[in-house]
Amino acid sequence: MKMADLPGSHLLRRLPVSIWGLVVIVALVALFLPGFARIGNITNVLRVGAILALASYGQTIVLISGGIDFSIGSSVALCSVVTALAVQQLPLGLALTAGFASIIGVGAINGLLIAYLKLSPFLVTLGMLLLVHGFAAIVAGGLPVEVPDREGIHTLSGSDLLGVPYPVIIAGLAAGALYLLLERTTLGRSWFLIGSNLAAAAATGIRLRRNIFLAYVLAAVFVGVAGLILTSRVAAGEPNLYPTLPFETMAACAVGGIPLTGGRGSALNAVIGVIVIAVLNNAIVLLNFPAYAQLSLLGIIMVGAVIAQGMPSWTRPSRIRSL
Amino acid sequence: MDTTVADSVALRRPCAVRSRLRFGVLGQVRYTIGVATALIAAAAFAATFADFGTFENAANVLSLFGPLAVLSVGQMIVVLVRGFDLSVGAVFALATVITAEAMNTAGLVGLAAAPLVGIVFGLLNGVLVSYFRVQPVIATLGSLLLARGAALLAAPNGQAVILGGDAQMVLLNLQLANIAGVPVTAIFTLIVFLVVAFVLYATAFGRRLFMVGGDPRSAALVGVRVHAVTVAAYTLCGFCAGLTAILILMRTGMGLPTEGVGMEVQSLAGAVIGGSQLSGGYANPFGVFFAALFIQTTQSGLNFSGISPYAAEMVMGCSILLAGLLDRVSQRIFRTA
Repeated sequence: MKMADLPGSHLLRRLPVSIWGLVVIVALVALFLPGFARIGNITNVLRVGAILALASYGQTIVLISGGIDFSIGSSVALCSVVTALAVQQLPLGLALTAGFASIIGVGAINGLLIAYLKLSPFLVTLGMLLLVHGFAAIVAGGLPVEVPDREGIHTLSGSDLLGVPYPVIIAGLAAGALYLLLERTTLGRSWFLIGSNLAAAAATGIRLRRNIFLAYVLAAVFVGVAGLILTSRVAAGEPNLYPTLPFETMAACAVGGIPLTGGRGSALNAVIGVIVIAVLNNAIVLLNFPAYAQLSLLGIIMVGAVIAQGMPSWTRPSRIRSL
Repeated sequence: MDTTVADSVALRRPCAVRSRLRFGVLGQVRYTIGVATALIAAAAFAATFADFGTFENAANVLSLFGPLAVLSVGQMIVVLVRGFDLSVGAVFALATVITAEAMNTAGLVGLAAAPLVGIVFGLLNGVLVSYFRVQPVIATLGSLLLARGAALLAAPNGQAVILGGDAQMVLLNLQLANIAGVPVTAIFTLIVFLVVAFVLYATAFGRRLFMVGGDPRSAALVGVRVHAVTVAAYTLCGFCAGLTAILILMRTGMGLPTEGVGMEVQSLAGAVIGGSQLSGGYANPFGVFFAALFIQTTQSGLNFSGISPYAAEMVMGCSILLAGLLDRVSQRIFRTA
């Protein structure tokens, strides 16, 4: 990172390499698939991508600070179950707040274990993945819980403003918020230092534990919004809501150019990765490929993108990996 | 001259107690946690449920724990060289599907497909991680998605492939057979562990695995081909996933494309509770053996208790958090200078 960056010139000067991949893919898909470039289809792609985008913003924060989060798939499921159960006694607004709070709770537990007990983020969030899913399934009784008030709950995911769906607007605003958080706040800047060099961060007097804890809590805020939109879309408490969500967010971040080694990344990277994945998934549907091919393709694209982005560093003398 | 932070880190002298812990007999304590937890879990369930402590149930637990144990020991080899493999669950699911189809067309010879599928994916992971320098998370996650998609595509309509004919009978008979009351599958598992122990402790390759895990740079300096050893470790892990597929085929008689979700996490827990450390350099197959036994005992015991099946999942989650705590504590104790 150049120290002489002027305010506001970040985006122009540091356009990620992955944006050219995005341009090429969108151009190819639009050229060869006539159904793609219709307003209805693009709105649909963005609507589906918005949820993945919000969750990926959370993953971005965690990755920059040098961690990783596998538990977000279970926490959105918990959100839907808590909301569905709460709505039976409480008004919708309060029930959604309870669902949102449950995701923040999961993030706070992750943060406490990782920041204050210094456990490995990898093991903690894997453990929470199972723990939270098991908990959500037990609370729901193993079956999806229906939300009775179907009219009100669909507003968040189903309505639009001047043709732009609410989730897309929310994801756009959240991208701006994430940009400000990462580039314009001391807390955000500290995550970059923590993720790239923990010892140096400690030496500069950053409050390591508090800031790492906050990374997981603020990541949970973004995931929480994704959870609310998902809950509103399915209008049910579903313990198996989106089990592949953590993997898809990691794929999105990897494709967008955020390395899992920490210390690098931006809101723009996450947005690019999400759009690439959403467009490719849409292309698979338009091509009438079997849905299962989507999984395999996601895997290949993710690894391919990481290899392509890693190529410039291959010329470095030492090629022994030190984890 | 004042010492800076960097100096004080560099000047920290090796502590006698620590090095004794690390290299002495006491250092072996970490590998006994699996045994202890397995015994405690077994005793607790046997005390609670009258039927749990019977010989039949013990044989049942032994025949069930094979797949997890074999996966865990494979995972242990990769963790030893500072990696991990998230693809093992999906790879063995793909291997069961392909093997079931191969056996339905070619007979018993088709069984060879299982280890082959495992080896191919292990090689892929190893090459990506070492030669292409892809992070283990990304590389093995990619393989997970690839293998899961391939398994669902290979099975007609994503449904289970049922084994037919003689091949199925041979496998079924093997599954039911026992030698002096010990199930053949348990003996198969034990043999896998003995072979892994032999490779780790009695071959030059085994020593190289420890060297690469302990310090890849030093290993490279003394002439170990770090990349090749890493690829071999991942390939062995894939091979173990292939063997797991055979055990699953014996038990179910079906190629199951959706099987094995969550097994990658359980196998990691098995490796860590068995005394491995995620930062590499530690491994003990016998510790892992008992850690896998602990996980299976807990799950069987909770099934016995008749509470929700999801309770077992929660306990699994707690065990992984516990494994994380263990990893942290052992890092503190066994940290070198």
